[in-house]
Amino acid sequence: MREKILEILEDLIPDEEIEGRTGLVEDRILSSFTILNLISEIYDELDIEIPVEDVVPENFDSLDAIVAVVEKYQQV
Amino acid sequence: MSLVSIMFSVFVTVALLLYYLLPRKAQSAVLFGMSVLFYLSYGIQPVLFLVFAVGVTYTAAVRMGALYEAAGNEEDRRAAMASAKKSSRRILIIAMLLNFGMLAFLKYTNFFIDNINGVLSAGLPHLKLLLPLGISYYTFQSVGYLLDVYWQRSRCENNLFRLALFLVFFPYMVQGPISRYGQLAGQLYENHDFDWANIHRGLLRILWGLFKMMVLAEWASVYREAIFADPDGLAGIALFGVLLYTVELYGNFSGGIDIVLGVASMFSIRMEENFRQPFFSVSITDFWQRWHITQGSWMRDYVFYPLTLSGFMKKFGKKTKKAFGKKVGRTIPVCLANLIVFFLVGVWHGPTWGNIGWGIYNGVIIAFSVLMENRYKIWKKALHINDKSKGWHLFMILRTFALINISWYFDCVTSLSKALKMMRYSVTAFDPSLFLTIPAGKLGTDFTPYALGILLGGCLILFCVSLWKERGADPEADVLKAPVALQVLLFLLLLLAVLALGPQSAGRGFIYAQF
Repeated sequence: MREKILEILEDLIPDEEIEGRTGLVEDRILSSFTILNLISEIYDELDIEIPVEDVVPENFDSLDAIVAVVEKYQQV
Repeated sequence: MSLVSIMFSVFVTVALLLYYLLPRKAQSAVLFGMSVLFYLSYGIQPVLFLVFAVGVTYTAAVRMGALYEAAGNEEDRRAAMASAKKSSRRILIIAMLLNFGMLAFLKYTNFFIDNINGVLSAGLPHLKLLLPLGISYYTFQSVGYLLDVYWQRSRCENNLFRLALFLVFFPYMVQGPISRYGQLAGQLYENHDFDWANIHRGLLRILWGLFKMMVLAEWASVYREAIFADPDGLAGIALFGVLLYTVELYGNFSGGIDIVLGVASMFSIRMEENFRQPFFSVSITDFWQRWHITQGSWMRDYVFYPLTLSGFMKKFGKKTKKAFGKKVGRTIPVCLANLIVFFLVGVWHGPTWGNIGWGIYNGVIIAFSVLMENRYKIWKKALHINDKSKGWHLFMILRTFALINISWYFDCVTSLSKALKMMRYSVTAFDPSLFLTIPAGKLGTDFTPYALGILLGGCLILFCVSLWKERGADPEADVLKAPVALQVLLFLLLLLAVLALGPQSAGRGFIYAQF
């Protein structure tokens, strides 16, 4: 799943290094538009829905954080 | 009680003495008591609306909190939490309708009456409605807190006094910033030791804010008003009219926020920044992340995200993906939600079609730039444009500044025809010598060159400070590290500028207080 999310992110923000990087939201690499497109892609590709209450900066600030929030809803 | 008054200075001094001289455990009570006194200085009636908002917010949050707590103890926790969320949703909707309903009724009833009269010639009279001070700000803080409790991002506050203090804390009442419960509330109840550094920092920030408001914004206002009052006679400086409006709006709003944050700092409370060098923005999206930041982030978290992730938008997104392909299709619902958000931002700024047009203008530009993003990349590549170069960065800043100023034409005049006329004059007529015919307020035209010099010098200082901050510096911290003699000199110079260099027409008040 991690690879799939990385693939989606690389498609959304092709010019940025994502693996191992933190501060994706804080450094404005992921805009609010990109976060919503990412959620839409995760739903389409992985059939996992991230609810609005979990759309907070700390859940999108790194690849690890995004994977963690996706896994949380995969188990539901 | 205006924030720019001797009375307010005395009020803050008394509050600070009580805050630091009484036992520390009394600090939150001092803040609460002084906040109530501050609000009472505007009359009894506004207090009643505030009490209503506090009562509704407290009751709804406690009820939701109790539902979640009971569900957490159930054997089948997941099912019980789902049921608690469903019940909480009903409570949330009622509380939001009451909070926003009060705001909407007081702020927009006469706007609707005007429009009904305009369309149907009904001749309905205006209602005598009072817009209580700070109602937008405490309504936004209340609803943000309610949504945080509903989403279980914040725990509910069972202590009525604590929640009330979060909603009535006096510095933010006049013009924000809009705070989050999780960021501000804890600081209001903590005990704080007296720290000279906080007082120094606060005083410096207040003086800087007063300089922006009383010198820059006030002089800009004198000339901007003259130009807008006679657009035909002063057509040659129409362009400067809108530029002066930018100086006035920024000086007044950000200066007021400097005062608010400075006062809070003296109480050892750190409030969220509301501005981050907005005129260095490279796009309209960037601008809204730097201008009135707390309102933008409120709209993003509590309107834009929930709206885009709503069931309706998801269904709409499926259709647009089918019709326009994956990439464009997934962006269309986001753009639509963005347009709705900016429509609401326009409505919030005031019940006029000019404000609504201004909001939609911003929303359309952002949506357009998002939809065109890939196309822009292709064009840049074809034209061999290096978008990492300094020249391109500067071009983007100037382009964004121009787009923002175009939007102010809609914001600062009363009719669309006048806005279009000012725009036309801005590009067809140019005669800066016309400035010399405008009197410097009560001081007459003889003082005009000096007034313009003060205004220009002030803008230059503001630009240098902004550039300093944009490069990552913290000017306040740097000043406080300087030798004491230099610090005293700077404080005295700022004080002198505030007292001596502003026009005699002080007391215009905060532009944003009316929102």
